[in-house]
Amino acid sequence: MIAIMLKRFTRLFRSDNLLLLVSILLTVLLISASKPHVNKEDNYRAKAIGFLNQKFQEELQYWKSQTTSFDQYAQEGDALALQRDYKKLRGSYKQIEFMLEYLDKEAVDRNINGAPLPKLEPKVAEHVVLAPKGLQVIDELMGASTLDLEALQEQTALLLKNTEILTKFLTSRKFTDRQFFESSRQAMLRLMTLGITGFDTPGTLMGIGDAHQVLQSLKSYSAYYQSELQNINQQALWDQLSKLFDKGISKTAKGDFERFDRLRFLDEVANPIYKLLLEIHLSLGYETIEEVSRYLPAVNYEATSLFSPNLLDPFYYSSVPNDSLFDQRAALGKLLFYDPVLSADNEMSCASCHNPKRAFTDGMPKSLSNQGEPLKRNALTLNYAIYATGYFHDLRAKRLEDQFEHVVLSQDEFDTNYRDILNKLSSSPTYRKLFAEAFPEQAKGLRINNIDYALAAYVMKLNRYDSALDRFFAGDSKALTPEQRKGFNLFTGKAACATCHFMPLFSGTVPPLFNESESEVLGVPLSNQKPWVLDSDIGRRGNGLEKEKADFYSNSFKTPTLRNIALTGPYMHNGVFNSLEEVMEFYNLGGGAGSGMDLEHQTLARDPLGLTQAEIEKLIAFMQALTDDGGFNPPASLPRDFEAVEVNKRPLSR
Amino acid sequence: MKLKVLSLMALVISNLGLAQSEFPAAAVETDWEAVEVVIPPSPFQYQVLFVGGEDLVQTGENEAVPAKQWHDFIGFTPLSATDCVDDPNAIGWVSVNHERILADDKIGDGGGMTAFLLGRNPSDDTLYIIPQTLSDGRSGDFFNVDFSNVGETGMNCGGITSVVDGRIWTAEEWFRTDNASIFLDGTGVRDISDYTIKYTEFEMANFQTIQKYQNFNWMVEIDPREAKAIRKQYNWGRQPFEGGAVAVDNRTVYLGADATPGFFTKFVADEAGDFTQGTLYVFKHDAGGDPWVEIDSNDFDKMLEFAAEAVSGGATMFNRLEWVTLDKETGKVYMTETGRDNPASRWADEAAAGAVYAPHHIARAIAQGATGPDDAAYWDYYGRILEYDPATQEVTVFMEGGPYFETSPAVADYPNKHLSNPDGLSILYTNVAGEDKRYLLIQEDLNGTSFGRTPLEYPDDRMCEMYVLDLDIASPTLDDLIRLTQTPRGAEITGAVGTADGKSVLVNSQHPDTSNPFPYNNSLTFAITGFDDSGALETLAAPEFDLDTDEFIIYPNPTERIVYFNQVADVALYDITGRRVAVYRDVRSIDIAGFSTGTYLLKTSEGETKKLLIK
Repeated sequence: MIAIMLKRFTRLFRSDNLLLLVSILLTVLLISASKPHVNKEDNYRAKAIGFLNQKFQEELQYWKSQTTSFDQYAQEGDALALQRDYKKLRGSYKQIEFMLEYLDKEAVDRNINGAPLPKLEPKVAEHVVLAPKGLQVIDELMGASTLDLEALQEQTALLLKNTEILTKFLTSRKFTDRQFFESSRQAMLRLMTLGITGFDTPGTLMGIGDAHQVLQSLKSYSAYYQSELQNINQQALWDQLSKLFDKGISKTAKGDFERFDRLRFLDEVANPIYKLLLEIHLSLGYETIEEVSRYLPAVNYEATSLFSPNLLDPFYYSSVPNDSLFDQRAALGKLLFYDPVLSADNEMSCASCHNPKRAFTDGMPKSLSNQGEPLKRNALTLNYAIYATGYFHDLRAKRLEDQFEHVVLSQDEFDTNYRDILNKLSSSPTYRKLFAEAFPEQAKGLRINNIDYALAAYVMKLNRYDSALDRFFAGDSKALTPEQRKGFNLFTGKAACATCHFMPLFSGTVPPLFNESESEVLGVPLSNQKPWVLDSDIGRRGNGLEKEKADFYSNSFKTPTLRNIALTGPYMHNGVFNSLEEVMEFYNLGGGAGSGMDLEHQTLARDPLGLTQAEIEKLIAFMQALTDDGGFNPPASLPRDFEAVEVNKRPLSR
Repeated sequence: MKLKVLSLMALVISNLGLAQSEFPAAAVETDWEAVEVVIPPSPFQYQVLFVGGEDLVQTGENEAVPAKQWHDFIGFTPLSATDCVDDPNAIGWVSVNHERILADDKIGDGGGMTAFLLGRNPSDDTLYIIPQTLSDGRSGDFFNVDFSNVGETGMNCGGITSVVDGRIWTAEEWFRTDNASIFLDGTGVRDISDYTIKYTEFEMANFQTIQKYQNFNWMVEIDPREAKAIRKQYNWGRQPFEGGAVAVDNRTVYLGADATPGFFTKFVADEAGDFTQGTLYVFKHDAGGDPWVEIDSNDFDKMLEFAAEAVSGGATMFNRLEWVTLDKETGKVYMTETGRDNPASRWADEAAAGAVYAPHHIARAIAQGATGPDDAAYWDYYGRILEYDPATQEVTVFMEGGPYFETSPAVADYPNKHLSNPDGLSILYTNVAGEDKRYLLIQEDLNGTSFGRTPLEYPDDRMCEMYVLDLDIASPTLDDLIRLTQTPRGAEITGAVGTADGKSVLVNSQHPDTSNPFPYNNSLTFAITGFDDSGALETLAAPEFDLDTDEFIIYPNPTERIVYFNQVADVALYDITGRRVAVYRDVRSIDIAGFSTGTYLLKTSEGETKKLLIK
């Protein structure tokens, strides 16, 4: 027995520590060997970024060695060692996760720590389903009551290979100061939206413990900037940051998922760290992404909080140009939005189904057609709609400005085409003038794209960020009632709502990059009569896009924003639930599958949430804190100088 | 909100002199006495020719509808001596593929093509569309190519422009295996009744009744002059065709198939110019002696099941062969093998059934520590360009994609020295300053962003580039690639083809997805003009610096819009007011394409300064 242990010990020593030692030596050798600019290299190493890179390379190798030994235990079937070292494996990864995610998000998502859901292989003709692999799958396996060793062996072997490929690739990568600050602020966004909500620890609910470690890691890396801050007489900034990190580290130390006060943590620790990192970045004078990239990401680097109204750049999501004519285009778009002239019979306008008084919905289970018959689905809110990469419940349009043509061409809606609309609008001197002013760079102001652009510009402005929750995060500590505060913590914790309705939009736009809109399979029933029967609408799978015809998209629907949810009922794609109470009952049961439907590919966990009636009330109270002040009104009048007299008689609203 | 940002900035400014960056956000003293380097405007002219969804295509007499989108291949058919065109400045016909399957009452269900006639203004070399009236009575600028006489067409990706006479074939790429995948719930090809092949030159195919989807995935010859399909090439096999090339003998055709496994096919016509009669072969590198194994093209069943025939014949497997082009001077064939991240599961069964891996995949797998190309750990992130030499009958790697940075110090050189997932490929023949030159035009179509396929500053975008390679360079490397253009983000750049006068390259930008102002948010065909005598190509060669000097030297390339340095450096650009506008770390060159014209100060971390005058 002792002999065996000794053997294992020596082997461990060989495989891990020796490897680490050799790699460090090699790194040092390599650094000293690359000589041409001795001064610059010396300078580089003396600065924070030099130490930081060295630490990253060491920890990269350590992660690899942990992956190596974990795989070894798996192949040997050593269950004891697996249980013992699983935390170490996760820890070694979590220590550098924020840098890996930043440096190669796609490689991490596909091979290292992607969500345990199948994906389609891009760019190929066949529907090749990429099976999930990596740490989240391992997390599910390790969290299971009986260990499926064979599956684990396959996963650890693959993880090892992929870890080797990635570490090899990253060995020559060097962070710049800018990249470090970007990656650490991105890490804070990830921690706030995905980490503490339990998004990436579906099996073990280790989210708070992970956050604990991320904060420790961030602190240890940021510490290298202390001397640089001293150099500019800003030691105080480091002191503040260090104190905030310590506060966060102690708050997350217990790792209790259900009792963690997320609202306070966000308000008192995470958001302030997010802001302070920016302040330090700018104080040190390092460049920002705006000075480096021609194409800016969705997240505006200058935003100081997860709930800053400027966190996300609407122009990232749209091809509407961000220039001095934008407001003019939006004003024209507003007229068009409320003008039934866009429909064939001059009776239906965008506002027919998107009423500003109801957060741009219509209060109907399913919107009504131009003949007064129910359409296929429920009208979605347009507030905050811009922040998405997929439109309609089935995500069939990929940009806001591509969405309108579906309404224009639909026989049940506007029942017309762009040529007819152009012809009609051209007969109004007012519209001709407005188009020419809003789009002066084009010889002919009135063209198809410009109608879409103007409407999109209007919708891009429908984001107020002035709900009670927004006011709370903007500094008004009394904006939320105690009940709403508890509801927030349930929403982002036990009730798991925030693992799909991501902060700060409470929609399926995925943080921390906010560059993809998600859809989910919930098992929404056909009617609210029990027993529930699955709605026959196949959703995303039937959206007409060849690339999305995958089985796991059957009955999958866009995850809409919950901002203004109190105004947007009835709920779900088919308006099946009349109240938030009904919606909560559905989720509390584990959705369709949780209440007995045969729905193998449901993406909502089918286990009951176990929420009490009191908890549900708090959740609903919180959701009511997501209502904006409103303040969107139709225009006072519409252009009435069309050639055709009957057009001039059209009503302003239906 | 604005206030907060402002107060932060105030804080920054108060610390200006102390900032730890070598590049303060505003230069207190700006060295405007520095050596001035002038960057002339690009010698290229850019012109948008054809916009999908916006330009109208003629579908019948007095009937026009907006063109389909998803532009891919471009064919160019030069005007010949026998063509009667009124406009003396006409240069030839352009044919553009639409890679889609879409129902359309007017254009026809499926994919399709658009054809138009180009003229060149002799005074300034600009291109224009010449209106035509076709013999079927249609008249206008753009013409929908009529496929009704060959059944529908679909997913028109690549194609062939013959180097001999500009004959055009369109490739129906995305391989279909059932009717549902073309019917698409009624949004695609709506008539999915069986199709009976009739009145073709192929006796073996005539009066065969096939399922509708089986009438897709052929090479289809079209006539760009009349905007009409001529024939589906039932004798070249049913394959996920992407590209092909006709040899100078006007008898041999080389074909590539975009699949894993993809096979390399050759057809040799009995008589020059008649591609309806001849012999079909598939490439098998280890056949011993002649690597071309015949597949009976007189057997229609074998044509329908071409891949199965290739596998049982032990053919060589490639990882997504895309475009094929042929150098009419040397006869050598170049093909893009675009790659697929982890191909193992895609070709293991075929290997077991007798097909063989291309030797370079076995070598790569071993070098990676994998057991073979069928090992799940085997990766092919970047793809490559292959060369087939008819003289030796061997396929070799002409240029490997990448690099995978472990083996390269080239991080500093990104993106101009990084080739990922090459797709489009063609050769531009032009005369530069009295010398005949051949340039390989290479276009990327990225399979992903990981492992350096896009630079870090573009984390969620796919930036595809087009490169030019001088074919006179013996054994070229990635360093010899010159970046020509970069498409709007999210777009795929494809279809590049040179006009016969060597002045222009026509390019398609396909399915861009976000943030590009009109017309760049549509699929569109544009022309880059100035390849012959504008001086553009003379400046394309990367500068050779004297490596012995310690002095910091810069060399702007107005064509690429890149400023090269003789050493790796950290640099910042300041505008005329002394405000820092850009910072680049660890670079050997900077891309100035996004900058407005004007004067800038370039400063290195070592304190060197240069004045840049961007025109």
